Amino acid sequence: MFLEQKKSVYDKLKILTDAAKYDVACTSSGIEKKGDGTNIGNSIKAGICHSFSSDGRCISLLKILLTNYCVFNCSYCINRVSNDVDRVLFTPDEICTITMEFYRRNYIEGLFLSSGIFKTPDITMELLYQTLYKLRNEYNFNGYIHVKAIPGADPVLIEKTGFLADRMSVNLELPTAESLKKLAPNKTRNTILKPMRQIQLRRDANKEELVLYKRAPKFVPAGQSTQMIIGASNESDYELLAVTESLYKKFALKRVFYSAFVNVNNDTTLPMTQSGPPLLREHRLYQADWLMRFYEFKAEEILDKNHKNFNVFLDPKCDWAIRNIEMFPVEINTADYHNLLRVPGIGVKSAKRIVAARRFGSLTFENLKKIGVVLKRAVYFITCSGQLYGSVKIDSEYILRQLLGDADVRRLNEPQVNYRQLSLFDGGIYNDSSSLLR
Amino acid sequence: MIVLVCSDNIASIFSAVYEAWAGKYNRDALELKIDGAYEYEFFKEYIKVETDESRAQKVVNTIKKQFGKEFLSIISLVLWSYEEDKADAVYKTIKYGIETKKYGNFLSDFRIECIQRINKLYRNIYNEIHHYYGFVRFSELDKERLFAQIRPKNYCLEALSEHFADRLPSENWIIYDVGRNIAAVHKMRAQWFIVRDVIVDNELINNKLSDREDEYRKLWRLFFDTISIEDRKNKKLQRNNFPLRFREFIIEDTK
Repeated sequence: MFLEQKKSVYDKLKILTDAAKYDVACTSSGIEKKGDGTNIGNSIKAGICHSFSSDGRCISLLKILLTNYCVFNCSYCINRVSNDVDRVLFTPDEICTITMEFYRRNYIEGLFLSSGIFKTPDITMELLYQTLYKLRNEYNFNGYIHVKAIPGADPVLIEKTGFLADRMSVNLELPTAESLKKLAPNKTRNTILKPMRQIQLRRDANKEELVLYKRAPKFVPAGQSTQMIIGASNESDYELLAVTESLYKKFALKRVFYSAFVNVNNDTTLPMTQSGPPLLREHRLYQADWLMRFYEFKAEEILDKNHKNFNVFLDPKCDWAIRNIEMFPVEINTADYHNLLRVPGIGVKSAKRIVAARRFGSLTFENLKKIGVVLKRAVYFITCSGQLYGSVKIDSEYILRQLLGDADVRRLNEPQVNYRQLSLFDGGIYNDSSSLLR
Repeated sequence: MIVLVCSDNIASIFSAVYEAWAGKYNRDALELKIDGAYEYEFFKEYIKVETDESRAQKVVNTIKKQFGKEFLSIISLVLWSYEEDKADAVYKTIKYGIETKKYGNFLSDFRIECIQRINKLYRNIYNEIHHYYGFVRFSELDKERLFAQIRPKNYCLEALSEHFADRLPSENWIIYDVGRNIAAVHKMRAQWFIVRDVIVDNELINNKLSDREDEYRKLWRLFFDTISIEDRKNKKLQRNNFPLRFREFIIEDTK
């Protein structure tokens, strides 16, 4: 088994990057950490993108696996034990050296370390811990570290690792226990949720420690995240959204990430993805996720038992607004912040700017444009000092026609429109709001 | 119409603001321009303003006292903009604030044209600085010295140096603004400083690359190429997120 250890760092990096690339969440955000004046590294709250790969996604962290040896056999995963692929294992020093050398050249914002299950969950977690310990204490790295908590690992190891990392995540992988049982037979809902709960509770306790003693060591200060694979199992968008909401509420997660399923193993028991991964669906989920985290929406406002899937033509906010047209128009000069947030075309920044600017006097449509409101969408839902924009009508049929055009409105009423048929729209929709994905 | 002409630095621009406010001229029929960044127009009288540090300081004190620190820090960043009308926008904004008796930061008043302009200039430079936080690439020269080149539209060098001094305190590094021939020099655990009129010989730099520099560049290119998911390939999205003008000095191959 250890014969392959003779592989060069170059070969290992190739294999262990390739094996890590389907994990999302390459963000470095959530923590503002000044440099300490001696050691290398700091962090910026907003996160920093260092490059963009040819799939257009941000590269922020050195995203690698410690090893792609794995004793588990999850059907969606390229590293599953039944696959015949080259297997390698990084030494902690190799990871530390690459991280430091990349970081000081400003290639990366930090390290995102995940791993296959090497022999046992405990051995894997121990190796992750050793690597982080070395990086923090021998290489004196003060930059951003995101590390996976391995389901089934000893809680002591998870706790010790959490004091070295900025962010930890346990992958939920699939939204329901059933799908998990089917596709990831070695994982259970319980082994995933247990470390998630542990990290949540330890963070809560740590907050109190920090109140008492400002210099107490910080436990996972940038918070916890998770990810779900989208399109490998049969859940509806509504189920996905409901799961997301409960993760935010019950587990106090910072982020839930979605990963459009790619059938890397050409596994016939899973959906084939020849026409590409379900990117539009993933995109809609991120839009809805944003609505819940920043726009005060509840999951059941966006989708419900009668509306189980996203509208493929309209973003979830427009879709909601048209279904609730009786709540409009919103008067820009008097509506409170929460109602401004509900207007399509008005984002968090614009809503705050409107509230700040109107203290000085009434705002016009022209002013809103300068503030950054997307008038193209917003005009159908607002008034300025009692006036509608031009000849606009507040009427859902009319607005739909204006936003989509006649052809799409016709298709909207066809029962069989699904994501696959819509993949041709991806490009346009993506560029419109790609910043959402960061 | 009077045009007060100042140099492209904060002290000179604030000296011009002082001069404009001093009462010598009609404040409403007055413009500020940066020397060398305009074409002469007939019927306008051009007056060169001498830089006066103590007058500039008085303007700073007034701004800080009346409009607050936040306002001052936004205006200061705007004065690093590459846009030619920045001095005039700053003058008109200060004038508006004094005439309408504003106290505290009033830059959220988006109804006013010169304030819209200030906000636009601010966002532009702020975004460019933030982009460069990520897109700066250091090369390692002999004796573990780090060297980076940038070509920003706005003057970002000092803001970037603050950031990298905090991030890499124990490194010797230089960031060189190619378009302006200015470099920031940081010595290990010391305060960084600015050097002007620097010319860099790229051949010389390439000859001085450290022995292991090539190895890490190769590893980075490998990582960059491998991390991308073929099924999601989207060059258009890459281009939107990573404009070509930021790629001049990067190591990875984005073609």
